[in-house]
Amino acid sequence: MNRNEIIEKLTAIFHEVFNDNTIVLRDEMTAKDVENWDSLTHMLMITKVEKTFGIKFKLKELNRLKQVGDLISVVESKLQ
Amino acid sequence: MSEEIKIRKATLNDIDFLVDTIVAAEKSGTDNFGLAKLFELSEDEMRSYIKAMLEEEVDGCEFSVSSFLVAEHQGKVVSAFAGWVEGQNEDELPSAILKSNLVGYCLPVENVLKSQSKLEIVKPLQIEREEGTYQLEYSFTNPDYQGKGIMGAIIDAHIQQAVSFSAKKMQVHVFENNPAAIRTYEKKGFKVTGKYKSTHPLTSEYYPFNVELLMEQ
Repeated sequence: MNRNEIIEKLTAIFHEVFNDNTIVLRDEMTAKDVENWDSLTHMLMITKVEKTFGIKFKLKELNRLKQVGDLISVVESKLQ
Repeated sequence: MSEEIKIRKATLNDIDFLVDTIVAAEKSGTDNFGLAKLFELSEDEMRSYIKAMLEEEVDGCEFSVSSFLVAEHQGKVVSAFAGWVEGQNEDELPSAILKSNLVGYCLPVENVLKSQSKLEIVKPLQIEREEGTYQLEYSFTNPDYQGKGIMGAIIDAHIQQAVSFSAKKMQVHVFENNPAAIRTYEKKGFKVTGKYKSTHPLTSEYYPFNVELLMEQ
């Protein structure tokens, strides 16, 4: 799966979890940029990413996610 | 009694008492274990996941062993209370995200996903924690030792830590139907600075009460 395909799937997850179909993912995007991105929806988003891509994040990987670009990169690395 | 009480940082050996503390604090005198209900788990299952989260030893949130101070009486842990400086952990993340990552990491995927339909119920009482403040969360004293000033002594120790960390101020959340706790915090200089109310009809199934106060000092 290439980076664009990953972004496409992540976008669908973001739209559903944060309840906003207008979200366009950018590398530098953080929780502060998305209205419904709080601790609870964050947890759901991460869990849906794991389920969708069939991956499991390490706790250290989760705690190092600062922005959407980090999430895209770690998903990409796990699918290689 | 106070001379016989020793306040110290919690260690991994105290985990069972810390699990009891978190469960008792979540219930806050009711039979309502909202955290278990949110994820559709039994109390025993949720207890085992709380233990697993504590064992991960992530610092900087209410599921961190390192956040807890405990009170010992004659070698027995009788009380515990967590406190930390918000956002000043290794990864500089809000404690709520550290907590969410721990929950998401330790709980089964299917149970995490079950919480989605209940977000609207629990959201009104999720109070944001201010970066750089000293947060207090999850307190419990063995009933045989209540009313002896032990909680006050632990709060004093947290106040000393907050000063030594140069925290902006201290914050604690308390349900409005818990006058004993409110009085304890008032005695230590805390004042009510915010009131959060949930009008969702199912609130009482997930929280001990529908009004939560923010107190600061």
